[in-house]
Amino acid sequence: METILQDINAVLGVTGSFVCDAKGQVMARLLPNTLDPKLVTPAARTIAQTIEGLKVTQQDKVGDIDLLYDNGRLIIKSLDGSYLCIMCVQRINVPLLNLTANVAAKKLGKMIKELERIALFRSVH
Amino acid sequence: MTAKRILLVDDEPNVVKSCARMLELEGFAVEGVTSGAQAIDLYQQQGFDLVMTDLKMPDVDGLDVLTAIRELNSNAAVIIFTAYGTKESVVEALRLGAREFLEKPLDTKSLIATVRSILEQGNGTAVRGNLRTMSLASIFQINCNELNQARLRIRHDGEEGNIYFADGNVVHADLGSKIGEEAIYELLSWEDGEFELEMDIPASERTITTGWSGLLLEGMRRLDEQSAGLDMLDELEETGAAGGTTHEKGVTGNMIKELANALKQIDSVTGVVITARDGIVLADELETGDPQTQGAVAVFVGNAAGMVGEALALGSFDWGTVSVGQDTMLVIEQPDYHVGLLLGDRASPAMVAANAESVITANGA
Repeated sequence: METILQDINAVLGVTGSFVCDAKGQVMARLLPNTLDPKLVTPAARTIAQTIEGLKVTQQDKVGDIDLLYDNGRLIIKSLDGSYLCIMCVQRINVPLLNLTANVAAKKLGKMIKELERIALFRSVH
Repeated sequence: MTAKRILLVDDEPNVVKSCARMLELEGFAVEGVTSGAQAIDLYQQQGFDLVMTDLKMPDVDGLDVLTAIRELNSNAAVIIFTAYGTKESVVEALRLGAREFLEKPLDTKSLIATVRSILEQGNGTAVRGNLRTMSLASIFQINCNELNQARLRIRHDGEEGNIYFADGNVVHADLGSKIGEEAIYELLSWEDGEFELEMDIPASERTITTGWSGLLLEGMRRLDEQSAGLDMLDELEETGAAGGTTHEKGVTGNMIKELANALKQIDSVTGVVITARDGIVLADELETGDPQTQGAVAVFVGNAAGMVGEALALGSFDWGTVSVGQDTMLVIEQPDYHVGLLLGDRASPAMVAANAESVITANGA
């Protein structure tokens, strides 16, 4: 998963990325050195809880979320049960980022499904 | 009878000493340590009936101790105590399986009562606490987000109520002769009360079909209706009085209504909802859809964005977009409220956000 995150981080303007599951557990991360990795866990949990909460209350699919801050931007892509979170500069070229990020999201989604399938197989056998 | 064994962890030796003495006088066997790492080692070697740990400690903190010990023994009983408890840390501790969250300075009587109560319960999986340290809204959020099947029992002033969770929803509640939503709204008005959350207890019937966030919003609306603040807002709205007089959020009802109307005029905006930070819908200009439901999106996203931005050092949240089903909502952060703008198909969120900021400034809201 880190290799895929490396591809995303290579896009001009991306400062870091991570993947978390529906419970907010961080599955992979590639973050700037200035960020304490411990702080990603509460952020991931809040993201997951919010999206899962929205799904339940709105009874509908939640798509991309794009949040703009004073010091950057956070783009969240749903991977069918898990989430790809991309930290970037405010003025990132979003269509250009999406070219890489959407391909990466598909690969990550497949990879996570495969990991879940293996985990399920192991728990049964 | 063998004395119950307690492992006590605090980086302040004086707290360990005094607390250990207090517990030993009550007949417990206490082992005190001053670091989280020592505590985990000792627990691994000896096992204990109860672990009491401080939250804030250097290197290995209380949540690390809780996590490590619960990994060693998923039924381990752990009490967390702290002088610096935040709502988030209480939620996190209880989510990770802490039985109780106590605030320092520790009150001898309640500490002993809590310890006895937990030890008497043995290895039960019930989570206990008080609504003063963990609100019903947080309990709803955790249990519904985690799709828990559980029963929450709450006691307050001699009354006892039950709330049942299943499949991401609140499905049943009872309080005396009240059942369903009426019981929920009454329970939501309790600011104090001991609670006990037991997992895997099914509801005997289903009396609630409203989503949990809808219940919270309606509960908050009813509470606000009782308060003088909203009475004043209602009065302002009814009489059309504006200018000078403000309600508790610092903005008049008419100003908010006018703002919603002005925002609706922005090109590509198809609907507007303005909500207070506590989820109350202050004004809306929606052609379709329920204001409460759309308001919940704005509040959820706005509040979460603030917390996430702080954790990831991204600074203050300005605005953001979220797609739910066919709708895209632009959420704009304001000091006292959140603005949710439903966008048309070809809208540029950045342009709409810039226009909306100008409208908000011009309206003085």
